[in-house]
Amino acid sequence: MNWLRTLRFRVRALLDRGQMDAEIAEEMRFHLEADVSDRMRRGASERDARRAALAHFGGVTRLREETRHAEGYAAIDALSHHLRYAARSIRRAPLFAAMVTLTLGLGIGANGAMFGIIDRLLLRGPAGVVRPNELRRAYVSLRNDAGGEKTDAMQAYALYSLLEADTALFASAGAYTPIDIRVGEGADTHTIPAMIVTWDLFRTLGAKPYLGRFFDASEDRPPRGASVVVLGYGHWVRDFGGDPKVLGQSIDVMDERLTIIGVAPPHFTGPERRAVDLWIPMSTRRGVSPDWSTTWNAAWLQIVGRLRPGLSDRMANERATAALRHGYTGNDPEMRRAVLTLHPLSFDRYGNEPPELGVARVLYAVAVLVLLLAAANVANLLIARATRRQRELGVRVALGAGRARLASMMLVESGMLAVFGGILGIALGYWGGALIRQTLLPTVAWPTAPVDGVVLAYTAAAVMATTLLVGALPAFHAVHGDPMVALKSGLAQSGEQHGRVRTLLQVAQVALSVVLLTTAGLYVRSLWRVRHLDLGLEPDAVLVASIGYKDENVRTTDDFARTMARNRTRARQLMEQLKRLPGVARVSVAIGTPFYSTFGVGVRLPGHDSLPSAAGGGPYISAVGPDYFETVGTRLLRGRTFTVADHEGSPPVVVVNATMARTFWPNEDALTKCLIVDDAPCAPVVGIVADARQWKLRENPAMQFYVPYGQNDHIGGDMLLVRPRGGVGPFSGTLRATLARLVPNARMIEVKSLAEAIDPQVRPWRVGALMFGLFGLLALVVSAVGLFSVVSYLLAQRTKEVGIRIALGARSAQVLRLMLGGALVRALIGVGIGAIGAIAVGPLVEPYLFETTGRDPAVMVAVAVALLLTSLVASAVPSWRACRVDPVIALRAD
Amino acid sequence: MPKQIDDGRQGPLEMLILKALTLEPMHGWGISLRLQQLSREVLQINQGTLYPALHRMERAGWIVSDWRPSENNRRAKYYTITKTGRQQLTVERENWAAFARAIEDVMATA
Repeated sequence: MNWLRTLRFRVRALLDRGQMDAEIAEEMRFHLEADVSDRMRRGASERDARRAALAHFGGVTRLREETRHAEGYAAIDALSHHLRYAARSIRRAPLFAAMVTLTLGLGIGANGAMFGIIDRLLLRGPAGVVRPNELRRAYVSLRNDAGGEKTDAMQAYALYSLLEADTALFASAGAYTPIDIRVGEGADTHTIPAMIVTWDLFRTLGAKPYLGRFFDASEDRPPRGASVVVLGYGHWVRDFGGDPKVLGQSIDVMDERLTIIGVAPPHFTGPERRAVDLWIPMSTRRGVSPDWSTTWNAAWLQIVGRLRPGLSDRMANERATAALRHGYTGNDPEMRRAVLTLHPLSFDRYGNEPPELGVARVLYAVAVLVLLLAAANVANLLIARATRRQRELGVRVALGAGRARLASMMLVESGMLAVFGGILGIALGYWGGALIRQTLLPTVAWPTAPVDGVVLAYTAAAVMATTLLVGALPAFHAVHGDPMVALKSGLAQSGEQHGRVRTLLQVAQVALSVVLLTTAGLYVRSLWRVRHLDLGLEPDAVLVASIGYKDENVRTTDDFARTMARNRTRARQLMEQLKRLPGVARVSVAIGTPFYSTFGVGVRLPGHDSLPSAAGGGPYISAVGPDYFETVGTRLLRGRTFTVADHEGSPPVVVVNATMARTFWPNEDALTKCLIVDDAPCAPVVGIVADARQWKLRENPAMQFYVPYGQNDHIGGDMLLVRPRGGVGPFSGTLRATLARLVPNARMIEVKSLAEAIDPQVRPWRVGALMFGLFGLLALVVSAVGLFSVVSYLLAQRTKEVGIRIALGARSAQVLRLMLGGALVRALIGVGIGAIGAIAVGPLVEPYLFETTGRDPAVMVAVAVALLLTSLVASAVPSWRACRVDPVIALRAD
Repeated sequence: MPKQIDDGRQGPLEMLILKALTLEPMHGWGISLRLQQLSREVLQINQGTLYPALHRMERAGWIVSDWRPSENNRRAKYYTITKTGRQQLTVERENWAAFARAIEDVMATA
C-alpha cells in the first residue's frame, strides 16, 4: 500500500500546496525560535543567539526546497510548470493551436469512428453472444454440370438435424430464419422483425434470458411446437412498457395466439445484426408442408454451431461435408457431391464477407493513414516552431535548464495539443460514427452508441500515440543543438536538416489526397450514372399502394376469379376517387409491377412451334390499367397504349416492349402481328414501348408484354400506381390517409415509392461516394492546413530576408513568386505521384463502380486541379502576408 | 550466508531519529537536542538533513506528525513513531550491527 500513501502525499502536495508550504515554514520557524531561546538561556544576547542559530541552521530557502522535495513536490512541480508553460505558449499562438487541434481532431475523430465500426462488427461479434470466434455458419456449395458454382447458407431442416446430431463437430448447434411479421390493421399496417429459431440456438450462442425463460426442446419438437413466444428486449420496453407481468400473457402473431414466456437480453439480435422483436419456435411456425422437418426439398433456414474445442476449420469442413454426403437422403445429384464449409458469423448468406465490411476495413486503414499524416503535419509544425524558438531554448539551456526538462516540456506541450485534438476527435467521432452507421450499415441494430468505452479507450491510446509521434521530434530537436549557436545566430539557420523530411511529408500528403479524392470522384460519377440511368421508368415520381381486403379468402379457383373481379371493381372505383384528389397527376393500376412482382405466362406465336429467347428471359406479363405507361414513365415507341375501352370483355390486345418486338419479329413490323396468350384468341400487338427494368439496375433485357387490366384472370395482386404533381415524399402520407378513409375495411394498406424498392441497389454507390468523398475531403483539409501552417512558419523565418529584398527594391510579385515556387513544386510532385497511385488503384475499385472505368481521365483532371488550387491558396495566403511586411520592422526585429 | 548490508547513507540518521522517538513523541528541535544529549555531544545533527529526513520518513509511514502546543506553549509539529517505524528500527538496528561488526572485523585483521 506504499504507492497509495505516496499518491496521497502527491495529491496533497498538488492541492494543498499553500497549506504545506506554510506548515514547513512554521516548523522551521519553531526550530529557530527554540534554538535562539536555548542559546539565550545559556547567556548569549538575543542578537548573537539569533545570528548563531541562523548560521547553524543554514540556508532556510534551500532547506525548504529540500524538504519540499522530500514531500514529493518535485514531479508535481515540474508537471505544473510544464502545463503552465504549454498553456502560455498555446495562448500566445491561438491560431497555431487551433490548426493543430483541428488537424489532430479530424485525424483522431476519423479513427475513433472507423474503429468503433470495425470493433463492433469484426472484433466483438453480435451483442449477447458468448465467444463469437468459436461460432460458424454452415454453407453448402453446389456445382452444376456446366461448372457453375453456387454457395448458400439457406438449407433444409434435415441438414440442421444432421449437423446438430454430430457432436464431434459442434458442441451445440441451432438454426434460424429471419422473417417480417405483418401486424396492425388498415393504414396502421406495419411489419415487425421476428426470428424463427430452434430451441438450441440460444444455448449455442450462449444467451441468457433477461426475464422468464427461452423455449426448450419439448416446446420446439417437430412436427408441431408449443404456442409460445419470447419478446425482444426493445419490443418489450417499447410496446409493453417494460412490464414484467407480460409473462403468461398472450399475443396474436400470424393469426395465432402465442403465450409470452420470456424476454431476450438487451440488444440481443441472434447471429445476425438485424433487430428482432419476436423469437418464435421453429416448430410453431405455420403454413409449411407436413413433412417440413424431414424433407430436403425446402431450404429456408441457416445453421449456426459452436465448434468443438480443438477442431481446426479444415477438419471441421471435412467432417461436415462427410456428414452431409453420408446423411443426405434426397434425390438431388448435386447435393450428393456438395461441399459443406463453415464460415464466421460476419459472412453473408452467400458465404462472402459483406462488401460494407470491406469498405469499412479500407476506410479504417485510410483513417489510420490520415492520422499519421495529421501527426506528421503537427510534428512538422512543432519543429518549425521550435526552430523559431531556438533562441529561447538556447537561453533556457544557458541558464541551466536540464535538457531532459526541456524535452519533457516539449512533450507536455504536444500532449496538451493532442488532448485538445482528442476531445474534438471524440465529438467528431461520435458524429462521424453515427453518420457511417446510418449510411453504410442502416439495417444493423447497434447495441451501443457510436462512442462507447472501448472507443474512448482507443481514442485515449490514439492521443497518447499521437503525443509521442508529434512530440518526439521537436523534443529531440530541443535537446540537441548547441545553445551557443542558437544564441549567436538567432533564427537564421537550423531546421535545414528537417527540410527534406518536411518536403517528403508534404508530397506524401498531396499524393494520398489525390488517390482518395480520385476514388471518391469515381464513386460520385458512378452514383451520377446510376441516378441518370434510363430505367424505362421514373421511380422517383411514382407511389405504389397495395391494399389487402378483409374478405379476401381464396380457397378454390372460383374463389380466386371472384376475388379478382371484386378487387377490380374496387380498384377502378379507387382510381376515380384518387384522380379527383388535388396534387395527383395520374393514377393507374397494375398486376405485375417493376421491382415488386413479375409473372411468367404461356405464350405462343401462330405458325411457330418454338419461341426465340432473350438474354434476360421472358416473356413476362403485366396486366395494366389505362394511363399505366404515362404514370410510371415508360415511353411509348410506336402504336398506342391502353385506354378505358380496353378491359375484360373487349377485344384482346397486347403491348410489347422493344426487346420482345425485336426478338419475336426480327426485321418485321410487330404492329402487324398477334400473340396467343394462355390459349386465348390471338391478340393483336397495338403498341411497342421502351424496355423497363424489372428487378435490377443492371440486368439483361428481358421480354415483357402488357395486357389490359382485367384481360388476364390468371394473375393477381393489384397495385395502385399514383404519380403526384409534387414530390412523392410529402404526398405518401396524404395518400395513405386518403386510402384509409376510402377503404375502411382494409386488412392492410401499404404505400411505398417505387424508388424505395430500388434504393438498396443504389446504396453501395451512394455510400462509396459519400465515404470516400468525406475521407478524401478530410485528407485534403489536413494537407491544406499542414501546407498553410508550415509555409507560414517558414516564411516567418525568412521575414528578415524578405525585408532585405523589399528594401533593396524587389517588387511584391517577385517576392511572392520566390515564396510560392517551392510549395507549388512540392504540390506538383505530390499530384504526379498521387496520379500514378490512382492509376494503380483504379482497376481495384473498378468492379465496385457503375459503368465507370477505374481510370476516368475527367475525374483525375478535376482532382489534380482541385489539389493544385488548394495548394496554391494554402501557400499563397501566408506568402502574400509575407510580402506586405514593412522592411523597417522586418529588419529591426532581432 | 553473507548478508546484504545497507551502507547506511541515510540509515544511521533515520535509525537514530526512530530510536529517539521510541521514548516519546517529539518535535524536530527536540529530536536534535535529544540526539545531541544521548551521544554526549558527539553527534551534531544538521538541520538541513534532519527535516528532509523527517518528511521522507513520514512519507514512508514510519512516523506520523501532528501539531500540538510545545513545553513553552508554542505550536510545534510533533512526530510519533508508528508500528511500521518500530519494525523498521529493528531492521535498521540489525543492519547497523552487522555493518559495524563487519567494519570491526576488517579493522581487527588489518
